[in-house]
Amino acid sequence: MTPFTLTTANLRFRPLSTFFNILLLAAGIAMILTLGNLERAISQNLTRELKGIDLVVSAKGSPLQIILSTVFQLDIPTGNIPLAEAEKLQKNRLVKSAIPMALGDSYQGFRIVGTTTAYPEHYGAEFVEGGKFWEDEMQAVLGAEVARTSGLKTGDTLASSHGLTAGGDSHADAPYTVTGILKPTGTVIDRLVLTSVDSVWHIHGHHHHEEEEAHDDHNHDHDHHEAETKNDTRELTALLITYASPLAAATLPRAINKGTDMQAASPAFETARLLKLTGTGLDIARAFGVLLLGFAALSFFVALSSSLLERTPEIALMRALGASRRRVFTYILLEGCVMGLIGTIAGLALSFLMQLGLNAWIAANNHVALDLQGLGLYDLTICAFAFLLSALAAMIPAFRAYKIDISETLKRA
Amino acid sequence: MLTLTDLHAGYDGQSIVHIPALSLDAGQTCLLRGQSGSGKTTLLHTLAGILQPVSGKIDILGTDIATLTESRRDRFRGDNIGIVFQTLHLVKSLNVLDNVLLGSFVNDRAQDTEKALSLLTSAGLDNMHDKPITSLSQGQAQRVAIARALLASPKLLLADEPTSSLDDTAASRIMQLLLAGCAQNKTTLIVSSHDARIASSFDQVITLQDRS
Repeated sequence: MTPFTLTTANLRFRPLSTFFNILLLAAGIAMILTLGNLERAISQNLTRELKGIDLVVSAKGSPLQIILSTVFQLDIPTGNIPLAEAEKLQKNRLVKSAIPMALGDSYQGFRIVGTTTAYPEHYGAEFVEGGKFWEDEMQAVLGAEVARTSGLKTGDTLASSHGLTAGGDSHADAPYTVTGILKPTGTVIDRLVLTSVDSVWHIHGHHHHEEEEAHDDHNHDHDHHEAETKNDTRELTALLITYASPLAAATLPRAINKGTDMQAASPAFETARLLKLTGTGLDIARAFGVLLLGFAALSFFVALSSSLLERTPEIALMRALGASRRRVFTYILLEGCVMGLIGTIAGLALSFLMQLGLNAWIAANNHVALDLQGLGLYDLTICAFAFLLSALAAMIPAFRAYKIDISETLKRA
Repeated sequence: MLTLTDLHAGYDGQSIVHIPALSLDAGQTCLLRGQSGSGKTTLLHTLAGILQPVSGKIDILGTDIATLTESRRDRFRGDNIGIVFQTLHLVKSLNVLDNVLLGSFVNDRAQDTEKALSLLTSAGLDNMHDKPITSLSQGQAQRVAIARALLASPKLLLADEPTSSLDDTAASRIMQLLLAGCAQNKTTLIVSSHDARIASSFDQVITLQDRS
């Protein structure tokens, strides 16, 4: 017999109470760990997708909506900006680079983004063997998640739908040809169909042209071209800007917001705002987790106290057989620690399963895989805290065992 | 082995039992007789060092145990004194064998499993070592408690009402077990009891006065 066998025998003797206490502690730990890791993974995902983008310029509207719609491809864009205005901005000396973005269509719910090759290159995208970027209009490159979900391969064609959600009118008459498939990057690129801006204009210009033909029987090609040059109606959805110097951060957004019909939105600022908004919900859930831990500690205390009350004669017996006060104190403390240790390990395992499940659910519903990491400092800190809390909860019953009056207890028993 | 000199045992400075003098050699047996409430248990607790005497001297193996610090007294008790309690006091979560080994365990002594099994066999509990303690009858549980007390071959064994609420056969078996075990180890045995059936088995009989 060892102190450990005595402890486990005592815990096994009250299986329901032991199980309930361990479960309560495990649930608290799992909740706090899952939420913490989820928050960290979301923050890391957002940061990764924002990397190198200092400013997003789009049509006037909510800055948060601009960031969500253009950087994270989650919301509806606020509108379009004239190409001429965008080109003017691109030439600004405070702008190091500006990636154009033209949205409007989708394929099976995945957005089609008209852009330049700078966009996938910004995220370090690489092709699966044999792929290449578009060289002409109506050619497209698929993100890894799009290719996986749709089953499309290089050389296949796809017909886009009008609008950013599934179910819009099909542009079946102007299909895209897939020229390449990108390797997974863990960024927004994975769930996009990328093409040239010209392709997006082509599809929509094509329709405009047909409408114009339907309303106007006259064919004035030359006149029409002149009119387009003078009054260019082509538009972009947004520009993703990287500053040329830190000075740009202080002046460029204000200049755009005050001096043009466009809206400048800072991804860092808006993301921080978004995290603060979602963080409140997470904080509430985390507080619930802490509350569970508190209940677990209280439950440990009650369980050990009532168990001690029931076992007082046994403790007195051990003292009578020669066990010192310190020794019986250690036995009770050990019981709390063993329960705490099992609860902590169970909590870690439960948190791991919860995170796997949550990640699978998020991936299935939003085509976003969060980069959940293994055991980190955060997890270890929470586990250490929970374990210490259980040990602390066992201290009071242990101290009662320490103080036991042997003779009185044995006579009363 | 054991010498009591003008011993007053009791609680909170109030004497309940007075033993003017008692001397027992190794292997001798003594019965403390008295009605319920006469202070038998109080005296045994005092002899075991669980309770400090109100006054007087308890000399066991040349040591005045009242002068020891609490931790030394615990150690002394664990090393030299075996105790069988009135209400059995076995650990419910442990099996029969672990209950016998409990004294060795709490005193960090080598756990002599073979001797424990042999004692259980002598007590008529062979093949029951892995049974839950809760599955035993009262008589069987009492024998487990005696086996535990005898395991460390104590110099002094104190048994508090070991035969109470047992039938004649069971009471006789318990006494035989105690006496034989103590005789084998030259253990001094003090038994408190109001059971007249067992008086003839002892070298000395002390009758405690009823305080009521």
